[in-house]
Amino acid sequence: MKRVVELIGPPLLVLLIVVGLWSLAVRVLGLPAFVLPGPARVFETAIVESERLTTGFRNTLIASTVGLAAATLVGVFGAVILSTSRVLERALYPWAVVLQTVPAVAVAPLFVLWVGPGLVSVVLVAFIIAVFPILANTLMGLVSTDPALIDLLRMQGAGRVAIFRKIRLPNSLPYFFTGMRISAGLAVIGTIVGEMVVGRGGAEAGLGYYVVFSATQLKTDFVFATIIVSTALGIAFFLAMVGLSSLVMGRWHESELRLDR
Amino acid sequence: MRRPVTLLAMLAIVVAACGEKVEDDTISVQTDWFASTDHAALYAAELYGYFEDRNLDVEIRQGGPGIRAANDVATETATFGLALTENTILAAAEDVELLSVFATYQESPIGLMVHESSGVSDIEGIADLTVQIFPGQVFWEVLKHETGIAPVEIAFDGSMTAWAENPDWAVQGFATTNPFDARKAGARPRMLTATQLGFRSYAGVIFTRQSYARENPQAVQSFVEALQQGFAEFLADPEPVIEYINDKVNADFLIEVGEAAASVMQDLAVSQDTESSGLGAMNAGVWDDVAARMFDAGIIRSEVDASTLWTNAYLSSHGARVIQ
Repeated sequence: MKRVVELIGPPLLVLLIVVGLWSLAVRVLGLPAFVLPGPARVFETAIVESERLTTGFRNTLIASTVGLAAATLVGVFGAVILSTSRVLERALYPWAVVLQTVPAVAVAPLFVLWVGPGLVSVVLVAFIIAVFPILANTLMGLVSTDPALIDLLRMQGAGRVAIFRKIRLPNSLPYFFTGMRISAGLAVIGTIVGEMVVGRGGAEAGLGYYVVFSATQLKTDFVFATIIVSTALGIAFFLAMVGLSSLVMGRWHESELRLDR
Repeated sequence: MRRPVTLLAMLAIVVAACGEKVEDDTISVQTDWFASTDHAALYAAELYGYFEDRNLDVEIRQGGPGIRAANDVATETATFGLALTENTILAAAEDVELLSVFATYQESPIGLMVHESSGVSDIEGIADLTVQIFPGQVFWEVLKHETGIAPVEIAFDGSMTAWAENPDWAVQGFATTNPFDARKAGARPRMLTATQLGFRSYAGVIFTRQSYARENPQAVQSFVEALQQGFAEFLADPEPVIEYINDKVNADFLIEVGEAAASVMQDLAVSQDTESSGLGAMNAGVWDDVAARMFDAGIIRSEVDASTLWTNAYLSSHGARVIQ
């Protein structure tokens, strides 16, 4: 219990202070609701629009999860391939950087042409935005192993597969999870961007779709409610990665051990 | 604070009455999109010096994606804005008091563009299509609510390319420009305006803050008269204004697109109301109907008294005939 209070206490306190200041600012400055709605009004709107927000949350959750899963698979596989050869790394890594710099909003309309609108296009946008941190970090982990350890295993007759399994893979895990923490949030952002540009409406509408929907109708309170739900989803993704990291590395890696700082 | 503002407004009226400059400050106008013939009244007034004739210093700001003129006017970032009737009503529902003073289009050119081959000509036919539209468009939300149709919807990214490739798609468009672009790209479009689909409202509506109109009646009057004069000039002879927009304001707005738009605009800009009250005129029937339907569809959560949101008081009934 003490551990839980230590974990969520400080950020919860900051949240309360921010909400208090937000509420105070709205009252003191006398800002109209369409410029800056107060927290109470945003909460009321979230209740009124709960059906849309629930639908949006569910669809964005699905697209983000699929996008992150695809980014993880491709990112890890790509990193393993690139780590096997310097030549391959030099040939392909710059193109991975290019992929990272492609403006996802600009290419999203092309996805509609190629694979049709909706989930697949949205997932592709999420994938493009999320894949690079996983690939770059995992690759860094795979190639930055201690040469002495590799030499030691080689002296014992270990082959490439054994060295990969016993040295490179464990060494890359902290890097991989660092990438995952970054990409988890990016996958949600990518999904929302995709939904804004190429997402479907109605029962398949995601949170990004509702951001545009509410902004078009000048409903700033609904925009805020949608953003808050989107942010909550991003945080949930991040925490899921922290939890996964702790589960996998909690017993042996110093970053997960509770050491005094 | 209120008193000095009122005194300044009164002073401005007196100065204007003496033929001096109405306002020291520039009158800024935020449009809804990149410059085109949809903003012809503004650019014609600028081209022919009708603002200057009335001692108005006017700055026209082009809109674009993400620009919401109602927000800019409400936050006093712009003096006037240009949008649809619906935007003023949406703002009123959020306690923002805007006043519409001039309607470029008597029937909004906004609507859905389908392929001729689809054979679709009404809202019921749209039910079987995939509709590519900016999320939250009022006319569409109202029509869906009233007819009960629930076609597949896709967020519109601003590009017509995907629509051109899919004969069973409808795409949001503007009757003045998009059908021409589509034909040029090889498609055979059929434009169904919101009015044809069952939702009539005004478009290219010029509005300002109610407080600004109260404090600067002469400026608003002069501004609206210049718009009327400019728009009448444009409708009588569109070519110079199209060339001006293309040459001086927005090179991406092609002459040929402007010519195609002008041929459509005559029908959309003139009505019985404009014949009697001058170009830009509006009537209570349309405003009340739009506001009531928006409320019924749940787009606005409280009823809005539309009668306070518009006026023909600044129009010159001779506006349509200034040039002719």
